[in-house]
Amino acid sequence: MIYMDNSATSYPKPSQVIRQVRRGLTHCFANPGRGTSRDSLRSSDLLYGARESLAELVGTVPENVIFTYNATYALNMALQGVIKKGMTVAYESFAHNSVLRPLYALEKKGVKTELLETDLLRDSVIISSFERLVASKKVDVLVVTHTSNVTGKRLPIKQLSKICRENGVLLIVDASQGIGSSPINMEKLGIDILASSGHKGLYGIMGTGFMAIRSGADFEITPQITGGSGIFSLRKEMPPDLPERLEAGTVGLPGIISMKAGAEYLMREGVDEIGWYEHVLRARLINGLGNIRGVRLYNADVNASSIVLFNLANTPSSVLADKLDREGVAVRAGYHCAPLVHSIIQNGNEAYDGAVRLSVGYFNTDIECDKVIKIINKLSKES
Amino acid sequence: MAERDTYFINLGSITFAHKAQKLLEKNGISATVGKLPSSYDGCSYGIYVKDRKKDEVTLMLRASSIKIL
Repeated sequence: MIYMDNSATSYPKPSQVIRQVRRGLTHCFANPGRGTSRDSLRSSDLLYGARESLAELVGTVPENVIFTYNATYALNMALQGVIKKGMTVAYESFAHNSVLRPLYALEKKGVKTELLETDLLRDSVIISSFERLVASKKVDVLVVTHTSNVTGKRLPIKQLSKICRENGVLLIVDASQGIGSSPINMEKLGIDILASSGHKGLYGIMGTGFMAIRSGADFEITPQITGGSGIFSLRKEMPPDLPERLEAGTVGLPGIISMKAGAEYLMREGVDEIGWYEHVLRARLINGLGNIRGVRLYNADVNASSIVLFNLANTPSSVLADKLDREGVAVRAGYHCAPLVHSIIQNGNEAYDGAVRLSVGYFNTDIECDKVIKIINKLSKES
Repeated sequence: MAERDTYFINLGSITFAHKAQKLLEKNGISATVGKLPSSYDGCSYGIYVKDRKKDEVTLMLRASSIKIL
């Protein structure tokens, strides 16, 4: 099988990740942050080590790393924890449903939302749209995608962050796709809250994610999930301080171990190196597919790292994905839980039913890319 | 766990207990993570240090913005 669905979840995982998870299951089996047995303290020490590794990767302090079960959970925690009735929230068209659906739900509770103008290629469009918005009204929060899960485009976080700083706007970034292949430092980029999955570019296992909060942040995040915290059991409220304030219940330690191992793997390999490697593979695919009759590429001109989005003439995207699967290539077809960017791509074409996404990872090879090109060429001739 | 000549510094969460432990270890001071028995609002974590080191440790933790309860 040629696995090219790394934007859904990465595969394979580095051997170090598998090894450490296996070791964790046998050696760190006790619940961290509950007892004081040697076993419990061994678990909690590992848990703290995981916070340290993630904090180093994204540029914050360990206590500001909150573990969740995926990016959706982290984004919901951030959005619902920060945004209050009457606030104005700006967002953009690359947003995933893990941002859109919570925002739509918040709209029903009296939150005002503003969709920024977004272009598939040009950063200047979203930047000037945001500038005009903050000049015309008070904006409280900006939620922005770091890297699109549909086109692979990286958004201009640094420029948007500057506008946020100048206008007192809190910046929330969905880094699910970009983490691991693009350096993301919250301090340098001016990000207030970062949410990410643990199982894509971070090479952790599924069921993992985290939210990171800027060091020295002075805003409040109201806990959405409350329950056991291991401390202050006689109080009715969650503990006052991070991270326990936002981590009710037992944490998923095996998954967290995988994120720790993944973060350490990334820092060892080099995030820039990984990003560059994926970029080279993507370019190979773009070049190859661009020469196949009937292939329509939607993001060839996007300065993206790992995603190729395309369709084959006269073939619905879901059918094409099935055919690729029968040929041993794993992809994802459809709207990729990101309806707004697909509506830009669709551009009024009623026959559009989504597209096929190839998303390479660090463990794909140029030989695999060449095989995929050959298979798509064959399917093109058959269609 | 507590010996006669040890002092417990209450830090609240297990996270800050480990943070403090690592900070102190980097500065050559040994600390053990422990839990204070139930107080008026429930138990909390902290560190046990040698009694003679408590003033030095307290200063170090406060300098690193680690809140002592």
